[in-house]
Amino acid sequence: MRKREYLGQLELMVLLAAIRPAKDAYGALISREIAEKSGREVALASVYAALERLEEKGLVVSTLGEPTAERGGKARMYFKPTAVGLKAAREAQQTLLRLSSGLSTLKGETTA
Amino acid sequence: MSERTPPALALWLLERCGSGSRAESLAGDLIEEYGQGRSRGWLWRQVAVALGVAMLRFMRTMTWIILLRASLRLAAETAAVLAIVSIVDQSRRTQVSGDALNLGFIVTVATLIAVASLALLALIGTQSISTRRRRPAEALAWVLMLAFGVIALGTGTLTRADTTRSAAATTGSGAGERAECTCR
Repeated sequence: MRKREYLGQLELMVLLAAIRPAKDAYGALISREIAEKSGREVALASVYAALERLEEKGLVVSTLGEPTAERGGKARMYFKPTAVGLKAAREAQQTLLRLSSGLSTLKGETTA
Repeated sequence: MSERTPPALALWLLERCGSGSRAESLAGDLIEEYGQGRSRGWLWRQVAVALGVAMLRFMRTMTWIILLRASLRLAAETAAVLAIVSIVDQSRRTQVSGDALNLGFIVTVATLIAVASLALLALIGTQSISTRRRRPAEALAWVLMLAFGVIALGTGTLTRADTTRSAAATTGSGAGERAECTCR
Protein backbone atom coordinates (compact mmCIF):
# COMPACT_ATOMS: atom_id res chain seq x y z
CA MET A 1 0.00 0.00 0.00
CA ARG A 2 1.32 3.44 -0.91
CA LYS A 3 1.92 6.12 1.66
CA ARG A 4 -1.17 7.87 3.13
CA GLU A 5 -3.62 5.66 1.29
CA TYR A 6 -4.84 3.97 4.43
CA LEU A 7 -8.11 5.05 5.95
CA GLY A 8 -8.14 6.67 9.37
CA GLN A 9 -10.92 5.87 11.82
CA LEU A 10 -12.82 9.09 11.17
CA GLU A 11 -12.36 8.74 7.41
CA LEU A 12 -13.74 5.19 7.52
CA MET A 13 -16.70 6.31 9.62
CA VAL A 14 -17.41 9.19 7.24
CA LEU A 15 -17.07 6.93 4.20
CA LEU A 16 -19.45 4.35 5.67
CA ALA A 17 -21.90 7.10 6.63
CA ALA A 18 -21.70 8.48 3.08
CA ILE A 19 -22.48 5.03 1.67
CA ARG A 20 -25.48 4.46 3.97
CA PRO A 21 -28.11 7.00 2.80
CA ALA A 22 -30.30 6.06 -0.17
CA LYS A 23 -29.94 9.54 -1.66
CA ASP A 24 -26.77 11.61 -1.90
CA ALA A 25 -25.20 12.38 1.45
CA TYR A 26 -24.17 15.80 2.66
CA GLY A 27 -22.10 17.02 5.62
CA ALA A 28 -24.82 17.45 8.24
CA LEU A 29 -26.49 14.17 7.29
CA ILE A 30 -23.20 12.28 7.55
CA SER A 31 -22.49 13.88 10.92
CA ARG A 32 -25.96 12.86 12.15
CA GLU A 33 -25.48 9.28 10.88
CA ILE A 34 -22.21 8.98 12.77
CA ALA A 35 -23.76 10.39 15.94
CA GLU A 36 -26.72 7.98 15.72
CA LYS A 37 -24.74 4.86 14.92
CA SER A 38 -21.65 5.42 17.05
CA GLY A 39 -22.93 7.71 19.79
CA ARG A 40 -20.04 9.99 19.02
CA GLU A 41 -20.67 13.62 18.14
CA VAL A 42 -18.36 14.70 15.35
CA ALA A 43 -17.99 18.37 14.46
CA LEU A 44 -19.16 19.29 10.99
CA ALA A 45 -15.81 20.89 10.15
CA SER A 46 -14.07 17.60 10.97
CA VAL A 47 -16.54 15.74 8.74
CA TYR A 48 -15.84 18.16 5.89
CA ALA A 49 -12.08 17.84 6.43
CA ALA A 50 -12.40 14.03 6.28
CA LEU A 51 -14.56 14.30 3.15
CA GLU A 52 -11.92 16.51 1.54
CA ARG A 53 -9.26 13.88 2.23
CA LEU A 54 -11.53 11.12 0.91
CA GLU A 55 -12.13 13.10 -2.25
CA GLU A 56 -8.39 13.64 -2.69
CA LYS A 57 -7.95 9.87 -2.45
CA GLY A 58 -10.67 9.35 -5.05
CA LEU A 59 -12.98 7.53 -2.65
CA VAL A 60 -15.88 10.00 -2.93
CA VAL A 61 -17.05 12.54 -5.48
CA SER A 62 -18.87 15.75 -4.74
CA THR A 63 -21.54 17.70 -6.57
CA LEU A 64 -22.88 21.12 -5.75
CA GLY A 65 -26.60 21.64 -5.25
CA GLU A 66 -28.71 24.77 -5.52
CA PRO A 67 -28.49 27.53 -2.89
CA THR A 68 -31.55 27.72 -0.65
CA ALA A 69 -32.93 30.48 1.59
CA GLU A 70 -33.01 28.28 4.71
CA ARG A 71 -29.26 27.78 4.30
CA GLY A 72 -28.64 31.52 4.09
CA GLY A 73 -28.35 31.37 0.31
CA LYS A 74 -25.54 28.82 0.45
CA ALA A 75 -25.42 25.75 -1.74
CA ARG A 76 -25.30 22.24 -0.36
CA MET A 77 -22.52 19.89 -1.37
CA TYR A 78 -23.46 16.26 -1.96
CA PHE A 79 -21.04 13.38 -1.65
CA LYS A 80 -21.22 10.01 -3.32
CA PRO A 81 -18.84 7.06 -2.86
CA THR A 82 -16.94 5.96 -5.94
CA ALA A 83 -16.32 2.33 -6.94
CA VAL A 84 -12.85 2.67 -5.40
CA GLY A 85 -14.44 4.05 -2.24
CA LEU A 86 -16.84 1.11 -1.98
CA LYS A 87 -13.94 -1.31 -2.49
CA ALA A 88 -11.86 0.45 0.19
CA ALA A 89 -14.77 0.31 2.65
CA ARG A 90 -15.30 -3.40 1.93
CA GLU A 91 -11.62 -4.13 2.39
CA ALA A 92 -11.52 -2.19 5.67
CA GLN A 93 -14.55 -4.08 6.92
CA GLN A 94 -13.01 -7.45 6.01
CA THR A 95 -9.71 -6.51 7.61
CA LEU A 96 -11.47 -5.53 10.85
CA LEU A 97 -13.44 -8.79 10.82
CA ARG A 98 -10.31 -10.87 10.22
CA LEU A 99 -8.41 -9.03 12.94
CA SER A 100 -11.18 -9.31 15.49
CA SER A 101 -12.17 -12.92 14.82
CA GLY A 102 -11.23 -15.29 17.61
CA LEU A 103 -10.32 -12.58 20.08
CA SER A 104 -11.73 -13.96 23.28
CA THR A 105 -11.12 -10.71 25.19
CA LEU A 106 -13.59 -8.95 22.93
CA LYS A 107 -16.26 -11.47 23.91
CA GLY A 108 -15.78 -10.65 27.57
CA GLU A 109 -13.87 -13.84 28.31
CA THR A 110 -10.80 -13.70 30.48
CA THR A 111 -7.44 -14.83 29.23
CA ALA A 112 -5.10 -16.75 31.49
CA MET B 1 -38.83 27.41 7.41
CA SER B 2 -37.34 28.63 10.66
CA GLU B 3 -36.80 32.29 11.53
CA ARG B 4 -33.74 31.53 13.65
CA THR B 5 -30.59 32.97 12.25
CA PRO B 6 -27.13 32.40 13.69
CA PRO B 7 -25.31 35.28 15.44
CA ALA B 8 -23.62 37.67 13.01
CA LEU B 9 -20.23 37.11 14.66
CA ALA B 10 -20.49 33.35 14.11
CA LEU B 11 -21.28 33.91 10.42
CA TRP B 12 -18.43 36.40 10.10
CA LEU B 13 -16.01 33.90 11.66
CA LEU B 14 -17.31 31.12 9.41
CA GLU B 15 -16.57 33.25 6.35
CA ARG B 16 -12.96 33.45 7.56
CA CYS B 17 -12.68 29.66 7.72
CA GLY B 18 -12.04 29.42 4.01
CA SER B 19 -13.45 30.09 0.61
CA GLY B 20 -14.86 27.84 -2.05
CA SER B 21 -17.83 25.52 -2.30
CA ARG B 22 -16.80 23.29 0.61
CA ALA B 23 -16.56 26.20 3.07
CA GLU B 24 -19.86 27.54 1.73
CA SER B 25 -21.52 24.16 2.17
CA LEU B 26 -20.19 23.89 5.74
CA ALA B 27 -21.56 27.35 6.60
CA GLY B 28 -24.89 26.44 4.95
CA ASP B 29 -25.12 23.19 6.95
CA LEU B 30 -24.49 25.07 10.19
CA ILE B 31 -27.09 27.74 9.36
CA GLU B 32 -29.60 25.03 8.45
CA GLU B 33 -28.95 22.93 11.55
CA TYR B 34 -29.16 26.00 13.80
CA GLY B 35 -32.40 26.99 12.11
CA GLN B 36 -33.80 23.54 12.87
CA GLY B 37 -33.31 23.99 16.60
CA ARG B 38 -29.68 23.36 17.51
CA SER B 39 -28.46 25.34 20.50
CA ARG B 40 -26.19 28.37 20.51
CA GLY B 41 -23.59 26.35 22.40
CA TRP B 42 -23.60 23.73 19.66
CA LEU B 43 -23.16 26.42 17.01
CA TRP B 44 -20.24 28.06 18.80
CA ARG B 45 -18.54 24.67 19.31
CA GLN B 46 -18.90 24.00 15.58
CA VAL B 47 -17.51 27.44 14.71
CA ALA B 48 -14.56 26.90 17.09
CA VAL B 49 -13.74 23.53 15.48
CA ALA B 50 -14.12 25.05 12.00
CA LEU B 51 -11.65 27.79 12.94
CA GLY B 52 -9.23 25.21 14.37
CA VAL B 53 -9.42 23.04 11.24
CA ALA B 54 -8.93 26.11 9.00
CA MET B 55 -5.93 27.21 11.06
CA LEU B 56 -4.34 23.75 10.86
CA ARG B 57 -4.86 23.68 7.11
CA PHE B 58 -3.35 27.15 6.77
CA MET B 59 -0.30 26.17 8.84
CA ARG B 60 0.17 22.96 6.86
CA THR B 61 0.00 24.88 3.58
CA MET B 62 2.22 27.70 4.76
CA THR B 63 4.96 25.48 6.24
CA TRP B 64 6.26 24.33 2.87
CA ILE B 65 5.89 27.80 1.36
CA ILE B 66 7.94 29.31 4.21
CA LEU B 67 10.60 26.58 3.81
CA LEU B 68 10.65 27.03 0.03
CA ARG B 69 10.96 30.81 0.31
CA ALA B 70 13.74 30.53 2.91
CA SER B 71 15.66 28.07 0.69
CA LEU B 72 15.24 30.27 -2.40
CA ARG B 73 16.31 33.37 -0.48
CA LEU B 74 19.36 31.55 0.88
CA ALA B 75 20.30 30.29 -2.60
CA ALA B 76 19.88 33.77 -4.16
CA GLU B 77 21.87 35.53 -1.46
CA THR B 78 24.66 32.93 -1.36
CA ALA B 79 25.05 32.94 -5.14
CA ALA B 80 25.04 36.76 -5.27
CA VAL B 81 27.63 37.10 -2.48
CA LEU B 82 29.85 34.41 -4.05
CA ALA B 83 29.63 36.17 -7.42
CA ILE B 84 30.63 39.51 -5.86
CA VAL B 85 33.48 37.90 -3.92
CA SER B 86 34.72 36.16 -7.08
CA ILE B 87 34.67 39.42 -9.06
CA VAL B 88 36.45 41.37 -6.31
CA ASP B 89 39.02 38.60 -5.89
CA GLN B 90 39.66 38.38 -9.62
CA SER B 91 40.06 42.16 -9.98
CA ARG B 92 42.53 42.20 -7.08
CA ARG B 93 44.47 39.33 -8.62
CA THR B 94 44.51 41.11 -11.97
CA GLN B 95 45.85 44.27 -10.35
CA VAL B 96 48.51 42.56 -8.20
CA SER B 97 49.88 39.83 -10.42
CA GLY B 98 48.53 40.85 -13.80
CA ASP B 99 46.51 37.62 -14.29
CA ALA B 100 44.14 37.87 -17.23
CA LEU B 101 40.46 36.84 -17.06
CA ASN B 102 40.22 33.12 -17.65
CA LEU B 103 37.32 31.01 -18.90
CA GLY B 104 36.85 29.29 -15.53
CA PHE B 105 36.25 32.62 -13.81
CA ILE B 106 33.74 33.75 -16.45
CA VAL B 107 31.82 30.43 -16.27
CA THR B 108 31.77 30.54 -12.46
CA VAL B 109 30.46 34.10 -12.31
CA ALA B 110 27.91 33.47 -15.07
CA THR B 111 26.64 30.35 -13.26
CA LEU B 112 26.41 32.17 -9.94
CA ILE B 113 24.54 35.09 -11.49
CA ALA B 114 22.18 32.67 -13.27
CA VAL B 115 21.50 30.78 -10.01
CA ALA B 116 20.90 34.04 -8.13
CA SER B 117 18.56 35.35 -10.84
CA LEU B 118 16.55 32.11 -11.06
CA ALA B 119 16.23 31.87 -7.29
CA LEU B 120 15.15 35.52 -7.15
CA LEU B 121 12.57 35.00 -9.91
CA ALA B 122 11.19 31.91 -8.13
CA LEU B 123 11.10 33.90 -4.89
CA ILE B 124 9.05 36.62 -6.59
CA GLY B 125 6.82 33.88 -8.02
CA THR B 126 6.08 32.45 -4.59
CA GLN B 127 5.13 35.93 -3.38
CA SER B 128 1.72 35.49 -5.00
CA ILE B 129 1.19 32.23 -3.08
CA SER B 130 2.26 33.75 0.18
CA THR B 131 -0.15 36.65 0.50
CA ARG B 132 1.02 37.89 3.87
CA ARG B 133 2.51 41.36 3.97
CA ARG B 134 6.03 41.97 5.17
CA ARG B 135 5.97 43.29 8.71
CA PRO B 136 8.05 46.38 9.67
CA ALA B 137 10.26 44.25 11.97
CA GLU B 138 11.01 41.87 9.11
CA ALA B 139 11.82 44.78 6.78
CA LEU B 140 14.18 46.22 9.40
CA ALA B 141 15.89 42.84 9.81
CA TRP B 142 16.34 42.71 6.01
CA VAL B 143 17.93 46.17 5.90
CA LEU B 144 20.25 45.30 8.81
CA MET B 145 21.27 42.02 7.13
CA LEU B 146 21.98 43.83 3.87
CA ALA B 147 23.99 46.54 5.65
CA PHE B 148 25.94 43.89 7.54
CA GLY B 149 26.67 42.02 4.30
CA VAL B 150 27.90 45.16 2.51
CA ILE B 151 30.07 46.27 5.46
CA ALA B 152 31.50 42.76 5.98
CA LEU B 153 32.29 42.37 2.29
CA GLY B 154 33.82 45.84 2.04
CA THR B 155 35.90 45.44 5.19
CA GLY B 156 37.06 42.00 4.12
CA THR B 157 38.11 43.25 0.71
CA LEU B 158 39.95 46.28 2.13
CA THR B 159 41.72 44.16 4.75
CA ARG B 160 42.78 41.63 2.16
CA ALA B 161 44.01 44.32 -0.19
CA ASP B 162 45.94 45.96 2.65
CA THR B 163 47.49 42.63 3.69
CA THR B 164 48.51 41.92 0.10
CA ARG B 165 50.03 45.39 -0.24
CA SER B 166 51.98 44.98 3.03
CA ALA B 167 53.22 41.56 1.97
CA ALA B 168 54.33 42.98 -1.39
CA ALA B 169 56.11 45.87 0.37
CA THR B 170 57.86 43.46 2.78
CA THR B 171 58.94 41.26 -0.10
CA GLY B 172 60.21 44.34 -1.94
CA SER B 173 62.27 45.67 1.01
CA GLY B 174 63.67 42.18 1.69
CA ALA B 175 64.83 41.99 -1.91
CA GLY B 176 66.48 45.43 -1.53
CA GLU B 177 68.33 44.32 1.60
CA ARG B 178 69.48 41.17 -0.13
CA ALA B 179 70.75 43.25 -3.07
CA GLU B 180 72.62 45.52 -0.65
CA CYS B 181 74.29 42.53 1.03
CA THR B 182 75.42 41.19 -2.32
CA CYS B 183 77.02 44.56 -3.15
CA ARG B 184 79.04 44.54 0.07
